[in-house]
Amino acid sequence: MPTESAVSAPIVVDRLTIYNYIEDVPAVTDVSFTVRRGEALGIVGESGSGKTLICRALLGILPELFEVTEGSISLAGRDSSEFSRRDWTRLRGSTISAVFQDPASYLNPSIPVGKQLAEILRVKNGLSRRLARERAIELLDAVRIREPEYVYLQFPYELSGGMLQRVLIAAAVASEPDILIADEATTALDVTVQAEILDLLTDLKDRLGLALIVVSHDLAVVAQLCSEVIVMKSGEVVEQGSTAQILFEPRHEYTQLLLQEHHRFGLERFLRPVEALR
Amino acid sequence: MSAQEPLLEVSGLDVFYGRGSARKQAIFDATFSIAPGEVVGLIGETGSGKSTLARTILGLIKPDNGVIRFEGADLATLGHRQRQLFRRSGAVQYVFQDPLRSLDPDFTLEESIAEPLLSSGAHSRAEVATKVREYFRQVRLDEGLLSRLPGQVSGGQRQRAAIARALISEPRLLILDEPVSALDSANRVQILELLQNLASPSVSLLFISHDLGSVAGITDRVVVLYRGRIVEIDTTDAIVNDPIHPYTQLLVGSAPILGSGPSDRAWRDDIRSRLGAD
Repeated sequence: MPTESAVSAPIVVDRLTIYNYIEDVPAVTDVSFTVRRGEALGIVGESGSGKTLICRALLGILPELFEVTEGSISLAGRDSSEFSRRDWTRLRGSTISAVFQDPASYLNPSIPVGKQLAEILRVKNGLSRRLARERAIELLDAVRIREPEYVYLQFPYELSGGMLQRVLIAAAVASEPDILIADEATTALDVTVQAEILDLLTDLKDRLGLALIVVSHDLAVVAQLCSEVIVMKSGEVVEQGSTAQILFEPRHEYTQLLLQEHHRFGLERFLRPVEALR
Repeated sequence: MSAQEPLLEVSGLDVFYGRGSARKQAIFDATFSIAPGEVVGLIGETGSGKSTLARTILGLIKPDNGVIRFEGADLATLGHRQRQLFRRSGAVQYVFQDPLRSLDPDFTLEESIAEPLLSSGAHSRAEVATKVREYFRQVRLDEGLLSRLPGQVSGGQRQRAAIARALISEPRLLILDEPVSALDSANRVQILELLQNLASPSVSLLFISHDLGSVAGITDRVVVLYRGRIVEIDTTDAIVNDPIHPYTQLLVGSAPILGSGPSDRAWRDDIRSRLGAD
């Protein structure tokens, strides 16, 4: 892995503050992080803690009356405050991409999934119909969908939640972005399917050298994939550090609560110490 | 198990859905029991039949074969009217994931919790009011919230009110269907604590969840359901540390565990291929 300075990292967020003009309160305060290629950062927090707002700011899609009022976001070395709408449209997909919780809601129910994937490749990458179809099938294969030619022709309702999330991940990496955001991307899935999708994200991060941002309410999910973790509560960073630091030397009581939940009510309560560190 | 008579004994239970050619078996030959005061987890993925099994125990679905012995009486052979009477006795209570399904939106919390007692007609209004307050305290709700509507309290408070409503009939079995999955960490921990303290020789709990990791710590034993069949029943400790059926192994191996590091994909792929060969 080549070492990069913070300046050339695909994503550098510095003292980001997002203001909510509807309620006239800051929604996210003073968040800073850097994610390098091939690395993963985790953001943990409840719904309403501001983690999704950060993602939306990174994608240039903050809701109306929410604004970045302080700090900066730099994508691929450029300050996002200078981006025009056209710049954002060009960057989304090719530099930064995202997958969210409910994959079905991002797909047109009446068009086969492969065709929707090919359309992205035609519009964003300017491929011909034939090449777009070939590349779409390659992408379905890359996200480990068996029989990609067959799935290409299937409608969203014919596929399980896990399969749909794979299709969405294929679409997200179609234009070879530097940064991928997974915002609660496995929350609605069964545990065994969640594990497959987490494996896939790790694999893509390593293989494509993605800078990965994993957002989840579950600290264990984030800890499994990420080397650095940010714990958020009510729009503020309550703790930030290496995964080991967060897991083994948590300082904030909220982080301690998240860990305590696993230790008291999770499988961790029964696991013998050796296996817990497997 | 001890020589003690089980509270609930399910044996050879088959449940079918639909008619004619659309007839489909949802539960295959289910056999398990719950001892008085025991906390049992019923774990399975989406579509595994766990809610069908729970609804059959509750008397909402009539099984096609098998015996459901509750405190010695066979519920499976009861007619429609008798099952209705059994449900109204309140001996088995059900708490949904979404408390809005247990609470009438137009009733204050006090009215909702009082309703089961009032409709039984066995208590004076003054007695009911006293009991409502007693159970309100037991689920750690502030009396000031008694006059609120479900829409005017937080999700955690609503779930507590739903639990109070279930408890006021003094059930011997409380079935909880994903009772904490819609809540934030602080509320999850508090409600799990509350339920843990609730289990006593007079009340048994059946926890239904797709995620063993979120409820394991509160259960004594786990029943693993896979595609309508019970594939393994054991103490939670044995399920977590020495799972025998490949699906249980996959389920335990897929659960995100704090500090477990990267997951072992090759191992899971192997289990999956074995499951496919079943």
